[in-house]
Amino acid sequence: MKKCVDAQVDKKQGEYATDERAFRLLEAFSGVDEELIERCEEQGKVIKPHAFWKSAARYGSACAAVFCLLAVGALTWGGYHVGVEHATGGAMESAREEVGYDLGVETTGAAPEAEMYMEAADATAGNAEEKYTSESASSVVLENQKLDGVAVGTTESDVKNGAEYNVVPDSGEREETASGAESDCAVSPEMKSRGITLEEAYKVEGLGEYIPTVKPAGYELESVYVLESAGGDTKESPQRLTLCWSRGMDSIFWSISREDAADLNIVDVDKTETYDEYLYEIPHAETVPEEYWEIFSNPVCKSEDFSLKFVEKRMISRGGDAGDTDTPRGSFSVLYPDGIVVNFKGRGTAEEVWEMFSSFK
Amino acid sequence: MVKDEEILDLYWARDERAISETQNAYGNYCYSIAWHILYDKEDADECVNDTWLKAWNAIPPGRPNRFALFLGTITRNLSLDRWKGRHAVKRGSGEMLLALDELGECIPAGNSTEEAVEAAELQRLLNKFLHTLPEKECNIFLRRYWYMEEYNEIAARYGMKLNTVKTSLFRSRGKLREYLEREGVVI
Repeated sequence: MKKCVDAQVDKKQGEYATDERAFRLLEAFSGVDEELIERCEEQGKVIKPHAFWKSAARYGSACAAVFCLLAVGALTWGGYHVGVEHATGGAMESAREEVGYDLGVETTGAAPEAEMYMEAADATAGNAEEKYTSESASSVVLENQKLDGVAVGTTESDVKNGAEYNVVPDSGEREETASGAESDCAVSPEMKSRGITLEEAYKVEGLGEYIPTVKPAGYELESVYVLESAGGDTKESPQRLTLCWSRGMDSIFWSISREDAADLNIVDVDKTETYDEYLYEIPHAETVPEEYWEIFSNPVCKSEDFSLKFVEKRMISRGGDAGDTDTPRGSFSVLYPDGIVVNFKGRGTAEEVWEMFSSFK
Repeated sequence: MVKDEEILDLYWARDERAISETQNAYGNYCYSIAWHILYDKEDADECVNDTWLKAWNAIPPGRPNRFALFLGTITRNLSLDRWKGRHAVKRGSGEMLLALDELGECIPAGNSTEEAVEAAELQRLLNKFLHTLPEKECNIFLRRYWYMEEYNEIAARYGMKLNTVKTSLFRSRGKLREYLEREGVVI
C-alpha cells in the first residue's frame, strides 16, 4: 500500500518536474529572434487561399438557385420557351458543381478518423478523392543528377518522421506505432541508428546501391541514417538505411533493409484488390476487406513484377488539401532477389517515384 | 492609426497619450496573447495594463525597433508569470497545460547531477534550432508555442487542415528534442 502511495507521489513529483522543465522551455520562446516572430506574423496575415471557395460553399447553392429562378422567369416571360431548358440546365449544372465541390469538402470532413490517420502519417498512402492524372505527373521535371554527398543532419527525430502515428482527435495526444528504423531500435536494444552522410550511405555494403540517384524536383536531402549494431560491427549485423528528403511540407522516406521474404506481404500484381488505392474510399477500415488489411497497408511487390502501373495504383492525390500540397502520396515496398527490400513512403507523382526506382541497379 | 515612431516619440516626450495610443494600436494584439495563456478576461486585462506600465518605464531609454514585438514579448512574459503563480499549487487545465504537456516531449533525458542550462543559453539554442526549420514549419511552431494559439486557430490562419498542423507540430517537437539531446542540453 505504502509502495503504491509512494509511486503516486513520485509520479506527481515527476509530473511537476516535467511541467517545470517544459515551462522553462516555454519561457525560452520569449527570446526568439525578432525577425522570426515578424516573419511569422507576416505569413499569418496572408489571405486564406480558400476563402473564395468557402464563400462559394456557403452561399453557392443559394445564389445558384436564385440565379436559376431569375433565368427561368426572364426566359419564360420573354417567350423564349426553347431556351428555358438550356438556361436552367446551365444554372443547375453550375449549382451542382458548386454543391459537388461543397460535398467534396464535407465528405472529407465526414471521415475524420481515416483523415487524421492519413494526415498524421502524412507520408503514407491516402484514399482516392481525385484521380491521379498523368498530365500532372508529366509537368514535373526530374532532377537527373547524382545526389550531392553533403553532410546531413543527425537528428534522430528525422528518422522518427518515418514512423507512422495516429493523432487522437482534439486532445493533441498521439499514439505511435513504430515502424521502419524506429521499430528496430525499439525492439533491439543492441541496435542503434546513426546519422551519416550520403556519401557514406552509398558505401554501405549491400544497401548503398539501392539509393536512388534521382529525386523529384525541389526535394532536398534532410537526413540519412544507418541502423547498425551498437558495437559498430556493421558487416555482420542486419542493417537498414533510411533516407529522408523534404520539399516544404512534402517528404519522402526511403528505407533499404534486408528482410526475410516469409515475413512480407508480397502481392500478386494481378490481384489489384489487395493494393489498388483507387478501389477503396475513406475510411479504409470500412471499405477495405478485412482479409486485405495487412497486405493493403504495406504491400510488397517483387522486383520482377514491379512496374509503373503498380506505382500508379499506390500513388494517390487527395483533393481539397487546403494549405497542404496536392502532390500524390503513397507507400509500398519492392523486394529484390537478394532479399533487399526498398520501402517508399512519401509524396511525388507516380512517374517521379518510378524514376527513383529505375535510377539504381 | 498613429505610426509606431509617433507613439515612441510620445513615450520619449513623457506624454501620457502614449499609453492610449498604444492601447488603440496594440490593445487587441496584446490581449490576444494574454488571453491564449491565461484564458481569463480579468487576468488578461491586467497583464495588458501591466504591459503598458512596463513599456512606459522602459521607454526611454529604450526605443524598440519592433514595437509590436516588444509589447507582445512583455505581455507574454507577464502572462506566463501570472499563469505560473496561479498554478503553483495545482495543475489545473487549459491550453497552457496542453502546450506544456507537448513541450514535455521535447525535454531530453538528463542526469540529475548535471546542471540545467542557463535561460540565455536555452534561448540561444532554441533560436538556432528554429532557424533550421523550414519557414512554414517554424511559423506553425511559433504560433503554437509563442502565441499559444490552438490547433484550429493555426489551421484557419494558414488555411491548412487541422491534422496537417498537428503533424507539423509533432514533427517539430521531435526535431527539437533531438536537437537538444544532440547539444547535450539539460533543462
